[in-house]
Amino acid sequence: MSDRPLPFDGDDGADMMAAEYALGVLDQLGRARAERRMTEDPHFNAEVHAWEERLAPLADEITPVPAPAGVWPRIAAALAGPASQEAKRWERQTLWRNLGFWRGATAASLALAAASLVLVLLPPKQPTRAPITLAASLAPPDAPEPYIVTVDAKTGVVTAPGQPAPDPTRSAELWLIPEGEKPRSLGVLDPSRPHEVKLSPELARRAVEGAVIAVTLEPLGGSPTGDPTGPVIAKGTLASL
Amino acid sequence: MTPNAAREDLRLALGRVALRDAAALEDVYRATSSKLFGVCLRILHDREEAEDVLQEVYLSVWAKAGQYDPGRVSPITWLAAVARNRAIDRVRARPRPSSPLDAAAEAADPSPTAIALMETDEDSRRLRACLEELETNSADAIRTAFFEGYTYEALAERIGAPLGTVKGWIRRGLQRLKGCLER
Repeated sequence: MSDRPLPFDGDDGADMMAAEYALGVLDQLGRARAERRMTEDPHFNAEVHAWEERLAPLADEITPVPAPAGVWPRIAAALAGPASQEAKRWERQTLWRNLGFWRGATAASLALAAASLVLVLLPPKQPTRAPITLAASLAPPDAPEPYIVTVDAKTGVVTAPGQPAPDPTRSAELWLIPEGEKPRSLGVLDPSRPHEVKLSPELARRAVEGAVIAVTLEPLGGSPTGDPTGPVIAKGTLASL
Repeated sequence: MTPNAAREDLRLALGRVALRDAAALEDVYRATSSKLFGVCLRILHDREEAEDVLQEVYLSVWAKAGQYDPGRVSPITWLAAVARNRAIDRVRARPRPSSPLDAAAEAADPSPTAIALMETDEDSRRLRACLEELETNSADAIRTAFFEGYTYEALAERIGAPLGTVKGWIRRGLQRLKGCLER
């Protein structure tokens, strides 16, 4: 059975699929397709969220029903579960840079998020080697917290604070993008410890002032292709200190 | 507490959840669990399943709070969308397709009640006004689909109209809604 496209259907009816997904009328296969598309297509992702917002006031008409008493204790128990004490402590001591910061968050929303920070940030461990000569600041100027990646020109070692990826199903991967060249991977950021990588002589030659350092969101374990496949969530330019 | 203040509290609480503050997740739960349980029940029509899904919803909020952009959508919109999505996923995964007769006992009330928990009254008013501009079939189909989480097929069965017709009502309705809301 063919459905004639509506006059205002743009972009292969993708906008309509976004609306249908948000409304909930797609079957299991349709939902899986839409969910995959949301991870691959930022415009589609944004359109789904826009539709969720448009339809959201309908939920006002749903009568609230008090949840059974046993639900919260089960949730709390699940939270306390698998994470080790140390991993939890480290998580509490680290600023969570959520995707909202990088996606053009407004000053107001950043101020709100900053107001919600009740934890003290521990500074990254200072390296004990020879003085660092190049650094890139990857955080936006109005971010509550700097994120500095350093390159020791003598040893060719790159150091970056460890960070969890904003999305637990993805990995944060670090890249060096020399001027006019394609990105080179510097490895996947480990959420639990600072990232240190020694550059090959060929890469070390390119880690110079003006080269860009960036972080992208990749599938778990890093880009499967060797090139960035996910969105850039942070970037900065190397400059000498 | 005014709706605006409640919304800001919720926004800040979600920010703390992203920082792994479990007490903040409990705050979010206390503020929103009745609404989200209602959403789940409406779609699942099964109390035990709705309980299961509600649990999954808050664990999902715990895992994904870092993705919530406070500048973009209101916190209750985001939370309700998480709840609806998980409930609909659960329905879709059921071994037998959910029968529209399941809903007979809790039929959608045709006259909308105005329980504005945290959405702004303005948003509610605008959506209601735009829905009223649609042809009745479109508006009813959209509302039923939203509340019940039906597939197109189940919706057509429930309404008792051909699949193609129902798709047309929904799609035309959604297009017109968008145009109306963007005015």
